[in-house]
Amino acid sequence: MVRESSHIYVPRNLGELLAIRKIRPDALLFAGGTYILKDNQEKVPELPRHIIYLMDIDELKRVSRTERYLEIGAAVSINRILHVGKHLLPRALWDALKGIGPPALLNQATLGGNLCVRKERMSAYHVLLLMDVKIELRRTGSSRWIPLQRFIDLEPLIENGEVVTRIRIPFTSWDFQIYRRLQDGKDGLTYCALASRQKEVLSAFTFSFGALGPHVIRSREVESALLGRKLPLTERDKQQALLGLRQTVERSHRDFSSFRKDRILSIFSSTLDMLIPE
Amino acid sequence: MRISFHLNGRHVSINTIPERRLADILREDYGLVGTHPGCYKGTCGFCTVLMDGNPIYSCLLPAFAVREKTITTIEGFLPTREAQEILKGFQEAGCLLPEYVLASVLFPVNSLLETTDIPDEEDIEEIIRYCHWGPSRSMAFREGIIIAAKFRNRRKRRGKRK
Repeated sequence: MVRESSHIYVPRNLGELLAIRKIRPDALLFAGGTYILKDNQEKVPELPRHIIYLMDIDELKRVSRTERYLEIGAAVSINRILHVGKHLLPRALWDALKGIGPPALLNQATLGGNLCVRKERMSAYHVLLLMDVKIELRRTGSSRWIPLQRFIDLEPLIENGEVVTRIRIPFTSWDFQIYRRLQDGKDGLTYCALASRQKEVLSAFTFSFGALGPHVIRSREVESALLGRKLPLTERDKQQALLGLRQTVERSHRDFSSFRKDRILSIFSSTLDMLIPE
Repeated sequence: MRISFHLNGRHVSINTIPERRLADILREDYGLVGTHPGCYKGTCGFCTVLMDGNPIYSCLLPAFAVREKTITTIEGFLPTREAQEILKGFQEAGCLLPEYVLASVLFPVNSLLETTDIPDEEDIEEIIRYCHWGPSRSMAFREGIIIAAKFRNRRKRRGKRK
């Protein structure tokens, strides 16, 4: 049977995009397309009937900054974001973006695409989640900014006719940032921890682990229990934090191998050791 | 769908299925067999081409995304002096690149030399990390990049003097 090929819409500006999206809310939004084509191993990939190609829209390819935040268009390539500069991007985000893949892939992949993949959480997701990033959703006649966490939790992800247009990253002064990517595949893990220290006190702390699939491991209880603690952390503080994380992992990720669970605890333990006064 | 684009300095137009991968179009419709779609996953890098001057994986690019873009394949890049400098660098280092790895080595190295005059260990390590050709782990490969950078700088200096 001969397959019918997709119908491609190529809007030239945001207005056209929103108008097309309104009449074709089911269309696939295609920017870099790296995940879509990587996931589709057929010689001629089978794509949805309607596709909206986003890369000709200038409004989605802008990067701007104010004193308080950096705003990145959803179709800005990862490589272009990296060119914003190591000094300007938060270190953990820089490491996460750089670790996505080779430069050729980073020239195609976009930040919007990285956040819109639903089957699994991509590399930038955990870092952006911890940084209280906001996402702009637009449709004809309206726009709204929502926190990344809500964007991911939304079911359905985006309301009819809406499009992710910008990502706003606040400049928070984290003076301790770690991003780690530990092997790909079944037991792969990504990890991010951010902290602020004031003199000898931990004034802000947040962390998350990402594993293959949609898993995200966070423990607000552990985070808040560590806030205001004197640095370096006492043995008792560390043991309590580790116990809290162990319980979170056991409770919500029973299917994880013991190797992976031990690994999570050992990475977190080394972070606690690294938290020393400035 | 009719798609027009610039290919190795020529304006071309093709009637094709919009979802077809650029790598297949280049090989099957234009006979540019220096582009090897090895994995269709953007892992091996053997299908790298330049799109508007930036390296991309042509196996991850559908035909509809190429409209009015400028594509340079390894066949179009090889005659340039930039490519010849890199090849000469590897040759002098004693690292001979087989035909099938040219796209995956020359394009990333060229990108690096366009942004950096003297590549450091970290830059070279990044090229090697993503290069799926065994001998790229050798000292000769590293040396090749450094010598190529010297040739490039020498030419840039000469250009400035003129």
